[in-house]
Amino acid sequence: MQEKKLDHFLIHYRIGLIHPLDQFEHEIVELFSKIGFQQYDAPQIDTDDFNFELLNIPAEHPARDLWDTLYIDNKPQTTSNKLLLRTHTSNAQIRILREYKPPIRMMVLGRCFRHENIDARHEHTFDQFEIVYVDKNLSMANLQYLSEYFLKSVLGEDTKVRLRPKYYPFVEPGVGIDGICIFCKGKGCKVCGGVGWLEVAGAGMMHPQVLKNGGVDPKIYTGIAWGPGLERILMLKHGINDLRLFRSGNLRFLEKFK
Amino acid sequence: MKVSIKWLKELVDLKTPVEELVRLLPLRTIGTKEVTDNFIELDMKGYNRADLLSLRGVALEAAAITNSPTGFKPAVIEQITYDADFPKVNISVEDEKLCPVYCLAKIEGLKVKPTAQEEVKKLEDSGMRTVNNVADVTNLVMLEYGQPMHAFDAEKVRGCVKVRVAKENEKITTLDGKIRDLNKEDLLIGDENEPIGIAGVMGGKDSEISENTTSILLEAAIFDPISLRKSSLRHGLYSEASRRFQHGLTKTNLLQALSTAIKMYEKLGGKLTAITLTGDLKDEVKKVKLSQSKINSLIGVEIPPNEVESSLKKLGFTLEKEGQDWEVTVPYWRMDIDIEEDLIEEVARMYGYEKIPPKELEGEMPQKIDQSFPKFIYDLKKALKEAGLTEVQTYSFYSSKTINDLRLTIYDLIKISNPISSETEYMRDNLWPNLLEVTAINIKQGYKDIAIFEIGKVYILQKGDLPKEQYRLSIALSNGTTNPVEELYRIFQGVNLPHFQGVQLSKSVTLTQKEYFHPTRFQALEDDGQTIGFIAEIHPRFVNKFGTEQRIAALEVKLVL
Repeated sequence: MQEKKLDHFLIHYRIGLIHPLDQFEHEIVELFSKIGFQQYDAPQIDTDDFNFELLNIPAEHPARDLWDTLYIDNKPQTTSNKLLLRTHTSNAQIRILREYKPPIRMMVLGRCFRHENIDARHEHTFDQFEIVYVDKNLSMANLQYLSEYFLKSVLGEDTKVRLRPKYYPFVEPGVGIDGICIFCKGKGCKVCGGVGWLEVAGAGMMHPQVLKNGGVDPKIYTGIAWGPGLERILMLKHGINDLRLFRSGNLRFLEKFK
Repeated sequence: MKVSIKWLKELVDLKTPVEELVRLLPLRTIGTKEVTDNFIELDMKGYNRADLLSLRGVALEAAAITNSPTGFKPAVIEQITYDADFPKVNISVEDEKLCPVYCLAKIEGLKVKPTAQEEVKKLEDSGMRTVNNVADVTNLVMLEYGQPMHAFDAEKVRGCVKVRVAKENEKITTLDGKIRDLNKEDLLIGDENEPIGIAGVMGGKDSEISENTTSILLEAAIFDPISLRKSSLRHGLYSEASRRFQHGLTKTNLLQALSTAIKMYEKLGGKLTAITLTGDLKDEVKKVKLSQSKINSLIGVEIPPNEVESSLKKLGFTLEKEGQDWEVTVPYWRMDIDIEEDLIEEVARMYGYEKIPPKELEGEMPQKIDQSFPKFIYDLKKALKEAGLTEVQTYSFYSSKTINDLRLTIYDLIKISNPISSETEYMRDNLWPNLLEVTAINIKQGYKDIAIFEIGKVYILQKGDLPKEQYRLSIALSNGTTNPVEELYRIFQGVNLPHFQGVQLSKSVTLTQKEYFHPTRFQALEDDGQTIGFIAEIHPRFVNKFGTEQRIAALEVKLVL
């Protein structure tokens, strides 16, 4: 073992692989880097304040039903705030607003957690990607642009994108983003439940209270928060039928991507 | 919320086919979960539109988005604002914060029978079942107005009805037959002797309407949503009623609902003999400023003033023009509207989000920040891939098997207070145990040569505000030889990244995890005099526990200190 010389003859030849989720995430990062977005890393274990309270989601608010949460038992004595496993990458929003001055073009990527029993369609662990974009005069038209920019690149140039109302407490107006069903091209099929569209992302114009909580004046600046569900899009693209495969370490599954 | 289509049609004079309404709902208002010939189920999970938890609210919305007139008038509420000398029901409310409005009406002369078929159908289409004509009135009214109601058998209730906080160790048997332990955080309804209901959550068994009931105490109240939600979660009782209390109620609706319920009981032969209403019964009128320029800039589309006005008017808002802008009065049922952006969302959705054109990003680029770490991580993945390794991802938790088989000291691990199961109770503080588990599983699947890696965070208890999260690389190799460490080290040496330039093997360091390693085949990895990880063969004693005889080598290094 001490021998430092590299001896190729003693290394087996194998075909390597970057995990399909990580490969996909890298492509998304590249895509948004081109238009000026930079990566920001936020903690996965965070306070109730950053994950909920400062994002306009007070304790005992019915909206908390959207995020079944895993809490930390043995938190450090020094914090009075509840600790939890972040339920979304939006826990980065306030941190970003407090650390950087607008204009801001940031992207957050990584693991999130929910209190969820796992089966083929449900996971307690999943990856999110999110954009935090703050500048003067941003509009829902910019949000439409970002959604098209992303989906056309990921699902193909002929992809159609549709925005519709959706409620998230930290944005107003709130937006749900549908891509035209890649299986039936909008005609309606089993995968899309007959509607011709698939929900692929959630977004909205950052709520003025969230901007304020982050120290940004909502009279001067507006913000866009935007984020797709990564596993879901990959499952659609590759016809993967079991969400649990991503973190199973199952080589038979992974080899298909080589 | 299951919206009965037949019932909805009684409330809206729909000018479009139902199919068009079904198409428009997700585009203008809210997603749908299920649509059948009988009902449209709205996806209310976490939603803020309390008004859509009532048929009348849905009717107003459906009318607005399909350009149809509503087919109902507001219920007349004079009937219950009786003069001062009408008999009262004896009630007391301990804390007005927890119960801002409490109304109790005594209705006598009823006879319990099955409910008429037409109304049974309404209940069933709405996802509720019929009980009897007396109890069903409360549910029918709740569905139409969104105001939950409860009917107590008046003969089972003794003396003054008290809305109060439960005493420690108090108990109640609820309608579902279960005995519930109450505590000081539960708001309850009690009579002179004992609890007769958990406020807004569920009534008591003793005062349930039975076939012999002839007189009832009809309750319509507003309880504090926060305390009610806590009670509801603690008792695991999540009813149609508690949902509506949590989303918030309006006083106008309450009075309309109460008035309608009394009329329905009169139709069943009952007679109102006493009534008491407590609390402030007027809804607050909200006024919000709305500016034309803000509408245009936030939506990114020029929306003409007459379209702004007609959209908002259809939804029940009233507008007063102030130059280019408006002062908008919010209809009492839209409790979700507080700020200008809320109104702009209303304008945008009536315009149609799907019609908003894309607009390229403008403005100056932000200042550059250091991106070297994410770049390094990707370069590392590429290098490991080129070395023939397969990247895996494993959970951020240790499985119960890993904890047991490796006899991990759980006191050192970050613990989840409400794990889904024992598989999500403890968070990983190293990557290699999960890779060991995955390697063994794949060997059992028939793989003889396994070379995998993971890059991810581990979680370490520390003093300070948050636990430490540290990026690590771990590699596991099982190549069928009796000493896989040799090849693993060569692979690691071959990863030619500047980051690892100074990394050296060190024998001098005592590794804390030594007990897991082969007695001689382990070494620490050092960088600049600091231990950053290890390379070792996992002791066959532990490998065997994972059900394989094959030798497994592992490496783990910190990627940041």
